[in-house]
Amino acid sequence: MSLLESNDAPFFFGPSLVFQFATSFYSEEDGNLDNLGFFPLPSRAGLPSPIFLLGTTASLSINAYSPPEVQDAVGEIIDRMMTQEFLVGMTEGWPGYWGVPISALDINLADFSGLSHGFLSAIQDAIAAVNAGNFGYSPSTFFPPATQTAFFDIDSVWLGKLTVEEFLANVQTAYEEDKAAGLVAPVPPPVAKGG
Amino acid sequence: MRRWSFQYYLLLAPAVLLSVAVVLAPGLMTAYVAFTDWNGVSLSMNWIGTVNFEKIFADRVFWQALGNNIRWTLLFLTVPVGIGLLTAMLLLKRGRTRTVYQMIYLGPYVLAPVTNAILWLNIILNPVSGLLRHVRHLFPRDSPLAPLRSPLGSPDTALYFVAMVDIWHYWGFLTVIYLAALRQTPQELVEAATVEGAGVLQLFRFIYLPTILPTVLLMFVIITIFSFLTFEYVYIMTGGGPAHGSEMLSTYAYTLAFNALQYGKAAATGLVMSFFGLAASMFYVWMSRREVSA
Repeated sequence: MSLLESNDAPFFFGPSLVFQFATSFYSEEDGNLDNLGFFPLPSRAGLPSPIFLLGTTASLSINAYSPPEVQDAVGEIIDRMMTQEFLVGMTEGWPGYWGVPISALDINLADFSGLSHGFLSAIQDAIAAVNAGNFGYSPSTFFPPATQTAFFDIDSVWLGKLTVEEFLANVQTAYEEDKAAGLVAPVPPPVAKGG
Repeated sequence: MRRWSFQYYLLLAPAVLLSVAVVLAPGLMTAYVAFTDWNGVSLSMNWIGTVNFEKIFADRVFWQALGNNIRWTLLFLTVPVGIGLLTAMLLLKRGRTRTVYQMIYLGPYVLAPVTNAILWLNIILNPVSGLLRHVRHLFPRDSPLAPLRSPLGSPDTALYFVAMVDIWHYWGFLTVIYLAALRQTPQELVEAATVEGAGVLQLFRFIYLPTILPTVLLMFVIITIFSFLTFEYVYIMTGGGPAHGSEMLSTYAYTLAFNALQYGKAAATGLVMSFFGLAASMFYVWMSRREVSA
């Protein structure tokens, strides 16, 4: 994020929650908010655009063994969290983290400023794409361990320490090592439309 | 006699058991894991010989980290030692204020590394709320100094800036150590040399330095060992980046173990780090023996 802010990196791969880290580098006072945007990947000719990759990295669950009154209270908390009011309220104070999955976000973006505006815009686009069926998902947004570590080396490319070919060769080697070690999670087959 | 022997062993047992449990066993385990493909999670590990060593030696990041460790060691053997000796000599002639100065100098040293590192990151280098931002805003937008950036954002300066922060926290400790050693210098020698007309530099070169030489050499060895183990400041301030510009063997090993889940390679790196510490320790033992026999 530091390299992005200083214009040394052309882009940064990351989930929308990375907006929360942008608060240390982008602000209205510094006048650099226009330099930060969010675009979903993958993007490819022949596919609808924008198409969003949803990472299901966590679940909000209720413990079946907890007392009934606790279960009800937790249910109320989760219900409360899955609302536009919660998403918007949290985003105003803490932009970037609380992109809870809701099916509609009925807001006027002009009412928001700073990073809240950018984050809510990204979430609004994501909701529209998901409602149109333009999304994929993965049980985790993370690559296997060594591969992910190799991807983090992207700043070596930005700063001219590594060529793109060398970088990709390193990623390939790491992926092969991960695969040989049985650390690559199986990719779930896509669910048939209407299934 | 046998009863006493038993008691001796019994009294020794806690220390021996503790050493075996927290030093010897993990050490041997690390040495063994360096020759396996263990991922740190799996219940099984396979013996793969020297493959881990071959892989890390073929990795440019390993050599960069080793080079950075050597640079770091050279910096620490010169800059804080120089500052420490200078300030210790200056404090030597101080009266009651000496204690106050020592307490002030020790301030950063007694704070936890994470506190010092976060202090520099947030109060000084934070682009939104830190001193850096205010310095930036002192210049007009078209000034060549306007794009003033954090030294941690460049692979050419990150290592030196982190070292500077670590030196800032460390030199006060060396001052206190050197001052304690300097105070052991026999005053009659100092007085005799002064009467003979020795200047400040001559006093230091011919009277003080020979007295504190064992301490200076011991600190050289300790600095060398710790320089090859250094971790906290680099990990907290840069994580070894950008582009491995501040990568050290310790952060390299940490990334391998806890991010890439390649414990075998991490253990192999750990053994290389230990080799440098061992070499420094052997040098110290050799030096001590030479002193005893001299």
